[in-house]
Amino acid sequence: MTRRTPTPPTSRRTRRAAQRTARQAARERELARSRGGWNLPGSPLVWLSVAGVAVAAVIVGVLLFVNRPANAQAINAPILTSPPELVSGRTLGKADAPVTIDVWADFQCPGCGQFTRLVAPQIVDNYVTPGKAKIVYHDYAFLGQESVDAAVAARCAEQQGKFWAYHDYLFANQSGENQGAFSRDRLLQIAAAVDLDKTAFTSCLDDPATLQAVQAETQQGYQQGITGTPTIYVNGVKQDSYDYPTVSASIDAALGTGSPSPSTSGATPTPSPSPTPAGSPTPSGS
Amino acid sequence: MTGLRERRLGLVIAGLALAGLLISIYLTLTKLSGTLPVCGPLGGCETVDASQWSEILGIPTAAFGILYSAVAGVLGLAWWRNGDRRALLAAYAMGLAGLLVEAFLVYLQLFVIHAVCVWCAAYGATVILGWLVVVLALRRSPA
Repeated sequence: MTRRTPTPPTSRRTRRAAQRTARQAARERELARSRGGWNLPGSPLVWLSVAGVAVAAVIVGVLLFVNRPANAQAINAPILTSPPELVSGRTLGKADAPVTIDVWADFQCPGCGQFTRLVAPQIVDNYVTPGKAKIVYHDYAFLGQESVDAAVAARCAEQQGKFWAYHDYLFANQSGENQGAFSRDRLLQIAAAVDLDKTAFTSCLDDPATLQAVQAETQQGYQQGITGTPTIYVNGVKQDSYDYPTVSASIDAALGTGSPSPSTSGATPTPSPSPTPAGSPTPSGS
Repeated sequence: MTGLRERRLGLVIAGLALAGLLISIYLTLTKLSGTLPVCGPLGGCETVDASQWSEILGIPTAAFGILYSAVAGVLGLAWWRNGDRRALLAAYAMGLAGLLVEAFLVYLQLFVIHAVCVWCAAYGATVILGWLVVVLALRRSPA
């Protein structure tokens, strides 16, 4: 008969090794505890980190999407368009209208966009269509290359009798400044949208005379003291602001009616008739 | 239970969040009123403020900072008052997301807009430091 030994490690060396291992394990447990939540995996920190990174990725993705280059965006059609029957070159309205509203603008300027989308339609309804006033557009292309390119393109549309349609499209498609909203491709797409002859349009774009005309008019605006856009003149009187109450009050004053028009919201004092700046009254558009 | 001493870090988190809150309120108000933030000699605010990245779907980007800092401040205070570790964990996840988004915004300023706005940088500092304090607080408070 042989005697069985249930616990084999009996030597002193083996016992010490076992104690060492146990001490080490205890130390590691203590260390992990002292680290707070860092004993991975199984810690909620893992999942929270993944969630944090995922949320950040979604936010950055949304940011990139809403700010994607204008080139990737479709051409927007303008909500309100200038009435074609009143169009004559860069003038909108009847030639014999007693009041002339000169608008100096840059196709990239956000304020000009606001004026075109929100204020000009009211002026057209209340004064231009009834034959009381006419609007004349002037280039003040000062916000960079795409301002100049857009102004050149609008003049090329004018050669085909579509300045105002093109103008409305440009303001409906503003997107940042010099970031591709008015790249050549986009300008050609807008030309197609307003049904321009592509060959004539393209050769006009490349004609240095068109560029010179834009630059000359911008220079003229600068010389007559324009420093920002939109700058509005009513019968040669520079307006303090481009909001509807200001401009309509000036038109009423020029018409001699003095009464506010139906859609005037809120009274704004009429700008005092200050002497017109050097070079005014502004010439009418071509 | 973590001692009050460790939980004081919650006050640091809330203090940084308060600084972030004030900066983001200022930037939001200037954006909404159409004025430019006072920028100091460094400049750059005007360019950043005028860039397309200063708005997200018509909402000033800084307005999201108000929301972020308000929540971060509440979480910091919750940790300080109650020692509720869940507040700290939520602040950790939110802070990590904030940190990464902030890194993206810094990238935009440096390489896309080519202008750095000192207010935006200060706000980013509150986000980054806030998150680091959260990490420190987590390490000091056992699970």
